[in-house]
Amino acid sequence: MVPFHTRSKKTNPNEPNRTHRRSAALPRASRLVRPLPNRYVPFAIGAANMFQKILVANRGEIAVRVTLACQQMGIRAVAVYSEPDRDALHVAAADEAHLLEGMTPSETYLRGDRIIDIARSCGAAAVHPGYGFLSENADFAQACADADLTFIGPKPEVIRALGDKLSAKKTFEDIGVPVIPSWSGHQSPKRQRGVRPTADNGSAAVPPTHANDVQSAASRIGYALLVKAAAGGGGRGMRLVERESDLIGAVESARHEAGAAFGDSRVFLEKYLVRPRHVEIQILADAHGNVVHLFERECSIQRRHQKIIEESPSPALTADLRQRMGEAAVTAARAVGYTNAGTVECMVDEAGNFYFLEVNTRLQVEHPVTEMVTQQDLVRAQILIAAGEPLPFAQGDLTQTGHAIEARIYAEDPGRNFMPSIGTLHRYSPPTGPNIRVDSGVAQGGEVGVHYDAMLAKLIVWGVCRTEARLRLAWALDRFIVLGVKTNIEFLRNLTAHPDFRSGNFHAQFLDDRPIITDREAPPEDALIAAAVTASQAGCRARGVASTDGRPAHDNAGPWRLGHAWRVS
Amino acid sequence: MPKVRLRSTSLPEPVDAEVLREDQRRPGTLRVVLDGTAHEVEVGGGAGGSWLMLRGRIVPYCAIREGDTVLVWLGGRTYEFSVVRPTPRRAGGSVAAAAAAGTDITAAMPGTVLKVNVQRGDSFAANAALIVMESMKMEMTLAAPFAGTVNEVSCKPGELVEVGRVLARLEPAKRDGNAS
Repeated sequence: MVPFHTRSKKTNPNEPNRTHRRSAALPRASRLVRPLPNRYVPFAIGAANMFQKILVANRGEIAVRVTLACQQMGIRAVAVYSEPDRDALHVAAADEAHLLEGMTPSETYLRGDRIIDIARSCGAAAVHPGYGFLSENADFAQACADADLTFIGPKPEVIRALGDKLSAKKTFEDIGVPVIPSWSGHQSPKRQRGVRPTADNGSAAVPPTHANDVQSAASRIGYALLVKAAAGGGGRGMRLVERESDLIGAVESARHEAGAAFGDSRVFLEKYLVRPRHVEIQILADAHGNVVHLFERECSIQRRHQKIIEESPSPALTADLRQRMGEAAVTAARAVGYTNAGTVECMVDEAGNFYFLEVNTRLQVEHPVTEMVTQQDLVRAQILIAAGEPLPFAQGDLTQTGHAIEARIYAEDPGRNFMPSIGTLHRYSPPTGPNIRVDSGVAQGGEVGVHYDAMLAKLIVWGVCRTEARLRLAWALDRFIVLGVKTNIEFLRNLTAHPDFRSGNFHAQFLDDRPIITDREAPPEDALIAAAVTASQAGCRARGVASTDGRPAHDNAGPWRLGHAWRVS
Repeated sequence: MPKVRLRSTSLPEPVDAEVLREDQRRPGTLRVVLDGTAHEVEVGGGAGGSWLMLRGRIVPYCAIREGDTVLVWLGGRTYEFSVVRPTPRRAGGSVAAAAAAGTDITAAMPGTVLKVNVQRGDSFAANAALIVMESMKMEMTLAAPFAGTVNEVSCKPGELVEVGRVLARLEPAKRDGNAS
């Protein structure tokens, strides 16, 4: 069977027009796809236009996740791996694997050129980038297209346009999607064009002629507001202003600080959101103009801007707000010609106003919570869309059923300020049970090294309501066994029991306001008994696995190695 | 079965533990003595996992020993212990006896030799402190398991040694006095 992308790129003008009527706006590959008589006909394994082989340009749990989706669609999955990842789970799960020589990400998983060479030489028709690494790299997406490979994601120009946060914000404003109100001087009245009231370096004072502009801009935005450094980061050059009388002083001191910190004293004003929530909308768009949203994910539980717990639905959204946000996300996706899976990140304030922040042009880490509540497979949908298939469902077919929560399991030490923890996973046994899903990137015996992200797995649970899901999450965390590296499991367990998490009343600064303590409790007597039995190896002998020298028969790695054998499924 | 001493950063004092099998026909039934208090314990679990049964109460657990470290997962938490072989307590730190069976003093854990108190040909009493080591910021005195004389000293202060490395060879006096 010939993969569709290798067919002639020119359609025969004498042939009846078999392409979709909107074909002019479509990428090259999908123009060659025969339209299906009914767009709800599910994709059949072995369909002529489907990829035979996909290269998964990633590692860890997402590479495993994508590999399984490919295999379940009858597609061969090709892994790439760095030298430290030779024994990694994503390699073992693949149908074919190729080495990327080197250790660091920049030598390996970020080497788009080498990955494209491998894809071409092994006959892969498409590349799935996962998240991170090359997933939002427009140049890589373009290089794939140039090499006649289908990049499973949006078009390069869409990735590029949405990758620039300022231009994306401008696009949202133009199409009437709400963004956080701000003023940088560029948008001042016409007579001020070209004059940036806050941009002249050197003097820390706001020129008196411009002070009025700043004040009128501030009153348009409304208080409280933030003065932020244009070149900013890390909170430097940032001031919170709650009253008009504080405004000019704050602008002056922010400019002074920004100039000292970044060598660029430009500042801008932005509405300050009081205890905002981070809520994002999942979208899917095919190459035929169909765009749907798959509701929201609440991602407010973060530490240092790193999400650690995500759920759907958001406890903060009303049905009306959900619908308005979903429709706005679909509007934005249409406006930029979005295709494939994407996520519109928003802030929601206490009054229920929402503001678009940015669009992530890739699959998100937390996509499984959406999969649990919608019963849709997002990776499968991505592959179908990339192959030119129409979406297998319309907006009206989608429902948000029950409640799903995801917790990210990291190899890190909460007792040492969440420093990454490295070592050998002597024991790794995730919980199992109905409505519990674990997407692991590691297996027992694996090494957790210094080169890559410290996320071991994602634990996702579903319940008919939030309480059921939360209790199931606590149960599952209590049964998630990891020995050999330190993890955040106890921290997550304590978090699920926190009164504000239980009530759903939290916001994006939740963990900054409430440090969750994982106290070093003295071990209970049960743990001492278990330690004594293990130290003396009585347990092994009791189970009859000891060899004649008193060591466990399966132990060939030195004395005292293994106390108890746990089967890992 | 050997006695062990369990230390943990979250334990104020180390705990002495001894695991005894009272009935050879019931190998899963153990008596675990913690600081003199005995607990009757049933140990079980096959392919599906491990458990302890304490007076009918099932306690799932998972544990491994890596060198002198025991890691225990129990009740959703993990605990880390370090294991040393106990001898009579002395003020000021742990005292480990030399291997009772042999006549060699060996390093019980990797570390640095701090002090060597004897030379070749010296005679010593049982429990005399022969060598002091430091490992993971813990001092450990290697005491004489019996009274006797030193045949050979094979380490010097400041030297890094591995587990099991012979530090001194001893010869018992004609009438042995065994410390443990």
